[in-house]
Amino acid sequence: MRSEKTEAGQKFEEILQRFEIPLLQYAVRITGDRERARDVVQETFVKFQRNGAINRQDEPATWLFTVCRNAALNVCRKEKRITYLDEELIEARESEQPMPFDQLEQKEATGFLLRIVATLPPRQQEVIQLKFQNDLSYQQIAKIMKTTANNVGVLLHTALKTLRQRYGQIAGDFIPFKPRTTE
Amino acid sequence: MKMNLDDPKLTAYALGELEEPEKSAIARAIADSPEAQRVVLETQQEAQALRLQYKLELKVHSC
Repeated sequence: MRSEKTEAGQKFEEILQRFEIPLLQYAVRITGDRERARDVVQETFVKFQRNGAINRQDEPATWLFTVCRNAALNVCRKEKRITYLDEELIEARESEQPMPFDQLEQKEATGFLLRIVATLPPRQQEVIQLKFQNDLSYQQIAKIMKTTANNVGVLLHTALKTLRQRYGQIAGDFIPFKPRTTE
Repeated sequence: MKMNLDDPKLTAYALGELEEPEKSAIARAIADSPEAQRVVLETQQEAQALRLQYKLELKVHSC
């Protein structure tokens, strides 16, 4: 009995260590507030322990990100935050203009490429984070975002294409191309 | 099959997300298209760069 408890505790510690920061960053992006995001992540892990999800044999990532996303969206709804998106607003936000480049410096300095990611529309940022930070499949991301794997593919394809274009554009600004001449 | 370079399936192929028989069909289509091969390679490099940046970011936050 004691060893079962210890084993479960150890498993929980491992999951906490692996997912705490990715979930926190995910929740911050949705709520726009670090403190609220901490509450959301705490709530997610409490639910994870209480409802027995920890004892399931399958990969916990889909469960954790789904519950975290729902909790973060609930915070937005309760507080009428417009940082993220009510489900109904998501599609409308897709057509919004991305953040202009001159605001790039105001974003947290986490790396050049990730700062460009921050200029993408919210849903595209979300798929990029779930795919490349957390290595989730299209199917898992679709389940978390309540959409189809096909739509995840389109969002990711569009996001990566835009990233390549903007990266080239910005890198080109920093390193102007000067062809050599024979003179 | 003529490959459309702006097809989300090309991205899915590059990221290892396609199942058979679609995977083999795309592989055959890009075999004759250097442009499609370049797009696949660029997508894979981009994915690798993003994974690396997220790893670095996690390290910074863990410290």
